[in-house]
Amino acid sequence: MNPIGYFLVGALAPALCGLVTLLVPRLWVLPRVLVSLLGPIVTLTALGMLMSGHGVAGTRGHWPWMSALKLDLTFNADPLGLFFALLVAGVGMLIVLYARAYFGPDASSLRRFYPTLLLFMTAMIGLVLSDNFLLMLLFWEMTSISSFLLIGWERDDPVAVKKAMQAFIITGAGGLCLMAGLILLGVTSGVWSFSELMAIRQSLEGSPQLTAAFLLVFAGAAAKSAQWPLHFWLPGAMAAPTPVSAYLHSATMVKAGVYLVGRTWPIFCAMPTVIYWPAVLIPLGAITMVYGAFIALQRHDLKQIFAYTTVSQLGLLMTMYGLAAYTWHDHPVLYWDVTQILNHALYKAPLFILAGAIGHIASRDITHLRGFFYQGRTQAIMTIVILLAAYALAAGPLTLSFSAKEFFFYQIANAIKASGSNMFWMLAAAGVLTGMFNVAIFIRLATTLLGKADHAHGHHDDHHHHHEHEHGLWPAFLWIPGLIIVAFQYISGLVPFAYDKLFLSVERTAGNYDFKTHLGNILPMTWDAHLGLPLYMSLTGMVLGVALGLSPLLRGVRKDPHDSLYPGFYLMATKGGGYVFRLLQTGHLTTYIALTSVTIVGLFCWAIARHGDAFAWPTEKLIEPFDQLLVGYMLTAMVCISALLMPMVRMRASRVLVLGACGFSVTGVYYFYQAPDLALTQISIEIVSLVLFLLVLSLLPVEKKPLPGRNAVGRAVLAVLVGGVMFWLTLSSSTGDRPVMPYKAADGSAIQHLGHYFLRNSYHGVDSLNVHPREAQLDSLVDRGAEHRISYGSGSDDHHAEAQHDGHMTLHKGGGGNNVVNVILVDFRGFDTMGEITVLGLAAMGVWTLLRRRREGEEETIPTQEARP
Amino acid sequence: MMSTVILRTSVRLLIPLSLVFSVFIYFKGHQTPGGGFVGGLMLAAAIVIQRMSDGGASMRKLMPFSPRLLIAAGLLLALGTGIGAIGFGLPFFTSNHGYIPLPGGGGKFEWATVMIFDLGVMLTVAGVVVGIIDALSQELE
Repeated sequence: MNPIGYFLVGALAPALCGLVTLLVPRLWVLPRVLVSLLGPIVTLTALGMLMSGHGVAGTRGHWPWMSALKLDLTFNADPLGLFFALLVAGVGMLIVLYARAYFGPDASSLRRFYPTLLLFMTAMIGLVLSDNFLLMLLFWEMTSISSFLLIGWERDDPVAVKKAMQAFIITGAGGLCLMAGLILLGVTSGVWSFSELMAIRQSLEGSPQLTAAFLLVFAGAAAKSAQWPLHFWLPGAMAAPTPVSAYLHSATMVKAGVYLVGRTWPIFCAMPTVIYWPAVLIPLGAITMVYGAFIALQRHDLKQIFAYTTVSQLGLLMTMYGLAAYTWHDHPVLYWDVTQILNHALYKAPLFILAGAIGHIASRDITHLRGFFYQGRTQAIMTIVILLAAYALAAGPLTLSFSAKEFFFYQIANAIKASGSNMFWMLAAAGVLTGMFNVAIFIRLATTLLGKADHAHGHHDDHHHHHEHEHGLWPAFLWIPGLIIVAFQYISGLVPFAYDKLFLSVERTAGNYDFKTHLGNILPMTWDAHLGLPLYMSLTGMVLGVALGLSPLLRGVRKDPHDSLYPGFYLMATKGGGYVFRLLQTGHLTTYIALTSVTIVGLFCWAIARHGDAFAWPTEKLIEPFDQLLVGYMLTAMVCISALLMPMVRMRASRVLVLGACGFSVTGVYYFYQAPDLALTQISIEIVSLVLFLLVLSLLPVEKKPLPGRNAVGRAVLAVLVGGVMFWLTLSSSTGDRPVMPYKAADGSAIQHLGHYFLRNSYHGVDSLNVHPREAQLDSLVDRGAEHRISYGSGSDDHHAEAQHDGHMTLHKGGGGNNVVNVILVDFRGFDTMGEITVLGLAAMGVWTLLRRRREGEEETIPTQEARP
Repeated sequence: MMSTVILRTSVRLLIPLSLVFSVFIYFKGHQTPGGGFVGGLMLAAAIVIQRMSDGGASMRKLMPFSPRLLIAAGLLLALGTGIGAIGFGLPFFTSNHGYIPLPGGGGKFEWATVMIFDLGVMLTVAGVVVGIIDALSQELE
């Protein structure tokens, strides 16, 4: 099987399973869960088969999609991508189970939830496996949209909707930056996939475009991964149900930015231009890291605490990739560094899962959770699991987290040595501070949950829908997924060998740093840590953290000042937008027409001033002998007369008829000058628009007395100007020099005009352009209209003989039609037509919606016009 | 609306003719003037004339489904033509055409995948025009 099959199955399986769940009858909860579970399982199977068949050394799958637009289905299963895909699918499986326990047997919630979650899963898996820039961008935007739906899950809760909008707008703005950056990167480098760019990265000349591309790409990644000062959307996104937080904000969506940085750092770091890499990433990452941890300590809501520690950890990851610029013995100190990412997912997902579970049966406010451990068996189990995860958050010894943190500190120590800059001591201090806050959070959590109960609170506030507590196995799934995930923390921490076995293939750290050089590949585990700066930093952080955690300092709730950033911008945008709206949208048709006309005339004058020669009066003789033109003159006279009649006729209906007369005269002109296609279209349009006009006019309010004479001179001048501009434009566009087209005729000569090309190739193609590689294999064809259009045929017609003359192609085929206009519309420019009919359809929808709203407005006697300012 | 005996009688003759003519225009579009867009407008015009002479109920007898359905079907057909090419391993919107010999005599029918696309255009245009005019007329009534 072609690798592309595995990729497509792997990426699309969750979304397809999500669609299938919609077919499951409403009340069949268990089948729904099982079908949803199938999505990630199929993904894991497909990727597993891909790995067993092809290894993980970067298998590419390629399938042309829109090659002319550089958008192909190109996937690449390299270690980083595969690791992420497996993580997303694996955690996703557990989240599906957790969601069932969280929502309870609430059939309608689950029915809506699973398809959305699985759509997000597809987007995320596609994102990390895509090799093509634009394909990745597509999936990137898909994660933004599906996460918007998930964060705004409580669609009747205005706060949740507002927070979802905030997350969407910020990550969406980042997505726009990313798009600009990737396009710039593609245009500058000439390649459109990460692996190709990776191959040629050394040869790229230093150019400002590449620096700009880097900054834009990083802006997109920073917005997605909640870097300061845009981090506030992530804590805001905690309005989502907890399964969403556990999934999106631990292992998946917020990691998309980190993934992108991880994907691009080997590329950007090698480019001679991007000297700014560490200078941009490290400060931003470090600020995010310390600030997030600082705020996290001063929150009381469990989800808020974990949201801010997530922000902090994301800052750490960015810093770490920034440090990648500093090498040790000419090796990068890290490669993909999946350890940090995995470590975070392995404790943050359980923390969120348990936060939801505890909120489900008690409260999420830690001030209400004192002595939670002693309240019952389930409570005790949940306390143990959450503390196990929180211990990993504190990076205590014997966890994977400890090794990861040691590794991070090692990188800082290395940077100090490698750069000789004292600035990195500040970074070391930031690292210690972050460690301190995390340890303090663990201590506070442990002392609260295990502390003596003063009074018990029975209410639960995590879930907006109150429902009866279930019995049976499902409630246990509130904490089982958390336990499964956090178990990996301890397995990896206690048995380093197992971790290396599992992840060494995706983590190429071999020989990159000097922990246990004699053991080669093994990560620094708890018992490998030897005395040195990294260990001292860890220990300092822990001691300070325990002290801070037990102290009465910083126990209040601190507001994050950044929370007012978005509302401020929002207000500015709506106020400013409202001002412009009231300025332009006066509600008077005459204003609109005047504005449009003035703009046309203005733009024309501007164009004349810039490129006057392009609009020069044609020198060639245009007028043909009078006798041939007699009919033409007569028809033109009719057009002119009806145009002059227009302003004189008072009644609307008569005006429509006069306009119709004008249109029919134009039809005659078309016909006379041998444009039957245009004539046919024009006459049909005239008929239909006449009916439409009459209908619309009879719907309009009764005409007030028209205002004759008011501003008549100005209007006349404007009308004459617009008419003159249109005349000149038509004249120069039909006689002026057209741009030379890059098309070659069959004999190799250049084709001057696009029109000639269409004429020559409408019926059967004689000219060649880009030939799709598949076509040669198919032993047939070839002709391309525009770049994205090719036609190919079976080769059984009468043009076969002619085609034999051509040496390098077996058979040319064009659009197969003699009607050039139609062939252009449906074949050469088929894409455009597709877009146009889509717009038509949308316009019709708009009309229906407006009319329905109008009618409903009348029935409810809501004043629609007066309500607006 | 503006129903007179003359109009109603002539419409009864005109409708079948214009329906057939719109299909004819669509089919010949590939070689001679015509095509999906004009065909769609003609089709819409026929239905709209029926509506004007005999009212909305008779139009719904002539076209017993929502114009929305026409738009959706048209867009799906057009998109399907593009996607169909992918099924043959060719880029999106690759077209193909060839000939089918007709029984009896040496005639042959030229087929092209763009005809499906053109049919999509025709249905969408017809659906949009009929839909908008119908909605506005309902507003009037």
